[in-house]
Amino acid sequence: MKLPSPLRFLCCLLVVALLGACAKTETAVALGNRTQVLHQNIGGEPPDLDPQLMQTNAHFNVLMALYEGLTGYDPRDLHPVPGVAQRWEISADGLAYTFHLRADAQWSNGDAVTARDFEFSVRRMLSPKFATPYKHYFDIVRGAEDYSAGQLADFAAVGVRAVDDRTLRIELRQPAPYLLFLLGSFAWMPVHRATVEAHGAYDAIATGWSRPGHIVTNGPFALADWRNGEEIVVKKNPRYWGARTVRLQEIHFHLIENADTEERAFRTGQLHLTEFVPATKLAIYAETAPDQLSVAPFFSTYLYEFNLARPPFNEPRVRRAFSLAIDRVQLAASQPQQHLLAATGLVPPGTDDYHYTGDNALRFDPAEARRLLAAAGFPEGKGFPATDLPFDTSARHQHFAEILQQMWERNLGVRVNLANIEGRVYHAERVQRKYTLSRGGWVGDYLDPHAFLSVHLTGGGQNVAGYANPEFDALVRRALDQRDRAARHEIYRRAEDILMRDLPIIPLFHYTAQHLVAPSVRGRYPNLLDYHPYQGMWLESK
Amino acid sequence: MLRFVANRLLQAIPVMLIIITVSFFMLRLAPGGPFTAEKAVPPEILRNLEAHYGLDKPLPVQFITYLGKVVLHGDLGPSFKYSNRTVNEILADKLPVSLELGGLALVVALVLGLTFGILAALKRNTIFDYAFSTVGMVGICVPTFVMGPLLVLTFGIHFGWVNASGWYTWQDRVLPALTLGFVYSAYIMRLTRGGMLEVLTQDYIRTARAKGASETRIVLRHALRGGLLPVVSFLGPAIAGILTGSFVIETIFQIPGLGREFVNSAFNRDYTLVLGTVILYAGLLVLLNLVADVVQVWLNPKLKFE
Repeated sequence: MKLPSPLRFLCCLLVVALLGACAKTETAVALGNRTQVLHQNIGGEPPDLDPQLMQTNAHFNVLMALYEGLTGYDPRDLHPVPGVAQRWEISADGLAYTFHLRADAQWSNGDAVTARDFEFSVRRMLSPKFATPYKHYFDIVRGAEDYSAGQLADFAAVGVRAVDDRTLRIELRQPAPYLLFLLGSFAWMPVHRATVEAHGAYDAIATGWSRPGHIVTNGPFALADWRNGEEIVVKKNPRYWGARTVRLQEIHFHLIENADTEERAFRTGQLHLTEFVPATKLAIYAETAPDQLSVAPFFSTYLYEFNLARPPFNEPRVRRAFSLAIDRVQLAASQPQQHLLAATGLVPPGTDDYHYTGDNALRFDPAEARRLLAAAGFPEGKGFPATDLPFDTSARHQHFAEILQQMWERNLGVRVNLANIEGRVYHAERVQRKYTLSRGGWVGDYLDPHAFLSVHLTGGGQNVAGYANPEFDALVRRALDQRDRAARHEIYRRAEDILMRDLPIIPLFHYTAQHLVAPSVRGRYPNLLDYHPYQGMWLESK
Repeated sequence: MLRFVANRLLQAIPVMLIIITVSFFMLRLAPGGPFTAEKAVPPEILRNLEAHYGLDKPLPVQFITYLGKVVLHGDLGPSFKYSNRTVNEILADKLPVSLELGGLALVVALVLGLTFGILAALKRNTIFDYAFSTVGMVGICVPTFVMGPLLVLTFGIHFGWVNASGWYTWQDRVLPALTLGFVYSAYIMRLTRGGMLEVLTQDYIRTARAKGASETRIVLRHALRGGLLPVVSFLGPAIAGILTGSFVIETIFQIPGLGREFVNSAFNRDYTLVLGTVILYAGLLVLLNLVADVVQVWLNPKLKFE
């Protein structure tokens, strides 16, 4: 029997459509290499392009293209370089900074970027009504905390003031050697006052000023298009003061969420840069295309937190026993392609020459661990209360939790129960301190040991363990007053020594940042915070 | 028939209300909220955010306010995650993509499913039948998350004919439509084959043959109409599923459709976006089930609108 003719026709259509799809064309990467168009994936949609509301590290890439703070970063080691501020003076006591803004800094609509824009932006950030989680980036500014808490009514008393259009003065309540670094970060980026106010109250969120078509920015690139769920396109901003040296013409920030989809897009020449590398593909790239795989130390620490308010972990010997029973080197080596670094303390190495290696440095000593646990009343783990080891759903967290479970059982005789909990539930309950033991982690906001140690100050918002030690607090605060680097590091060493003695948390290892990078990408360097300014980046095929 | 349709639409109102109510409260009773993050948000900021979105009011008040806006103004509220966009905007943005993908997949499913289903029934118990049935079983058994990457590996990476992901050119539509369509075509094929086999042995087909009607006419005019009945009742809800998107396909191929928003919004506790998608999906299901019923009556003379 023959096929009925309408069906035959449809079949033919399908075949033709398939064949038509078979035209081999130049890939986006090859085309981009010729036209200086970079294709980078950032792993998902940013909620907003308002720099004062930004949420994740990956989205910071878009902000770095769109905005520029008073300072910028050297792409190799991230030391602060002039941004909108051409130069600055620091007072002898380290409390007052005077910034001189460049005359040719412009917004993407042609307005001049002035010191008043920065003053306005800080006022918006600190307004008690402005709901953003990043106010702590301003804590060191005189009067900032009081103003944002509503205890100080007059913004004039806050230490950020435009002296004139091109001079900005910032006064601190205590010296902060990392201030120049902070000034380049997203929270300190300026917003365009007229645009913000044209769309609603200056301190309201979700007014729509940062939508495509409205948004005005001051960085090397300007927003051209935002196709939701697909890509954000930025084009070189001809008004940028340094436009002459910017070589990329466009950046397409792809919004692929799935690591496997992303990797396939990289392989078919759709992406120059990926946000992730699937764990299963690390070994393959390391072997077959090492020039395309970038694995670099990341300023972060993977850790577990104890609930210090509840037994059994209110007992320091138990915490110490749990820490000593972990073979961190083996734990880190369990994922060899990720090049994880076993932790000896909380602060990852790499901030100048600071790296904690004191008497309380984390080590593996099962005999001592068993002795301490017995001394605490649990010989060979007998009588130890049932303990959960909760973690937020992820293959990676599960992997490490299973290894910890085995190590504690083998070395302490204590069996903890793994509890795999959906992300939002986990984070909500973790902050409410419902767990006796919880998975945590920290990524430094700036390249300074303070970024890690200050988390554990008494009453800190991220101090989930509930740690409170006045001696530790005093040292961490005092370190900021110390302008001599070596002396400052010595104080940090003493503070970290106390922290690693008390062990409110047990650091396990330091992460690495992993990306796939097309060989044509130039002027991009692995660095500790995974920040990559686009001003000096370009594409060049061999 | 008008009365039947009007009646069914009236019945849909309480159904929709129940769906909205249950989803609203289930969602709000789930631990964690739209502003929960690994880095804890300071309590005073959280209060500010909750006040901005009206989350500080008692739950029943929030529910009434929400329902009022939805029913009176069709306003599904602002999205919690995408602070600059409303749920109406997001749905208006993503639904057409899902409709396009679903429509194309449906064409693939119907063309492949009906053709091979009819052929298998006509060539019953021959090598054709076995071959089609095997392919059909494979289509049902191989999940889309295996099929999709396999197609990409072959046509995207090995041959370099199409992109691995994205939704930019018409070539980008080929693999997702095939992947999604293939699964449904397998079901349609098996249902068509079964339906046709049952019909082809009926007296009226023999009568038609005796009267000298051509084989094409017998199959298309007489047999197909009855043989399609099981397919039609399957297609009602299936089309709703196909059209509102498939999370898996949209994730594998990075398609900016509704399926991905639906699943992600639940993970993000984006209350309004979850409810918006639920309402849309439920509405479509109700509507398409109604269409399926109408079509069935039209195809089957034994049924009446009652």
